[in-house]
Amino acid sequence: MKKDFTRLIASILFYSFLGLGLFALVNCGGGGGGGGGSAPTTGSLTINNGSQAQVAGVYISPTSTSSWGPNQLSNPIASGGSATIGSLPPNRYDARAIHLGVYSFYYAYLMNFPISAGSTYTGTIIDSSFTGTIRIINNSSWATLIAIYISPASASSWGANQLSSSIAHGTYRDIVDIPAGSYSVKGVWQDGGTTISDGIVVASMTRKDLTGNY
Amino acid sequence: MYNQIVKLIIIGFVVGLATVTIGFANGGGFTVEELKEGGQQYINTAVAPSDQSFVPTAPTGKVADKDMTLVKETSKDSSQVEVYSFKEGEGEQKVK
Repeated sequence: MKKDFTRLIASILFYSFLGLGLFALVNCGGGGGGGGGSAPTTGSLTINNGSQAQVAGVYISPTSTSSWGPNQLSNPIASGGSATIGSLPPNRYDARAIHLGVYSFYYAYLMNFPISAGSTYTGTIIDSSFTGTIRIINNSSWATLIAIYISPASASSWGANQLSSSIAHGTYRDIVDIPAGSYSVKGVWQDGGTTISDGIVVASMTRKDLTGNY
Repeated sequence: MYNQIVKLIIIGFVVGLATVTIGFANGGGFTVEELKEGGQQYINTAVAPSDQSFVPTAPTGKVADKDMTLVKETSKDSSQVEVYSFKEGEGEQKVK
């Protein structure tokens, strides 16, 4: 009688542990880390817009690639708002934000930042994050501007011509994506004459209009 | 003596003409005007740039898609928007 009772208790304990084990196995998805799912394979980027400007678009691509790809935002990020872009495979990335202003559009960059699986990288945009624009206005009544050179004040050479095509008289051209700083600007007219200005200060979210009279 | 005076006058005339020509050919400087978004309110010095701040940077060498379409909200309740299309190197064109 006592033996039967002991056997009964042992059976109950055995099947109870067996049941508990099966329950735990099913709920852990086959032995994961207790989180209820498999380990994350992607990370995300959160962008805080601490500027007073609306961010209309954000482009993200791996640092090693040569193009930005499509806009990642479905809605603009208002001043003081934020947006998270997820499903980014672990890698190093570049990001570009764009603000559509009244006078021009301006870019802000976050370059070569890391994304790791299961984590979120946070980047902040402030007012001074954005580039500026130079507008070249050809106010001549007859002459075409055939070349424009924009060189940092500290540079010793003019660098490359910024125009892909000439600026006819009575028209203008915007040269965007210029980092804040002091520049020298040289315009070359169709007859070889030049117009030069030094100390042109470009600020974030600012368009500088340069009018050439010739 | 008379010939020397004539020569000096001719040389002076040529030099003066050349100076005027060079001055005309080189148009001096540009006239400059600054247009700042939001007037002077967009001067944010409260947050110093850090490693995690977006910054204006030199050209990255990366190219944008040939056509980018972006939406700009023109009212705070998002009831009014403007749609812009961008073409690489050609700037913005308002499409709606």
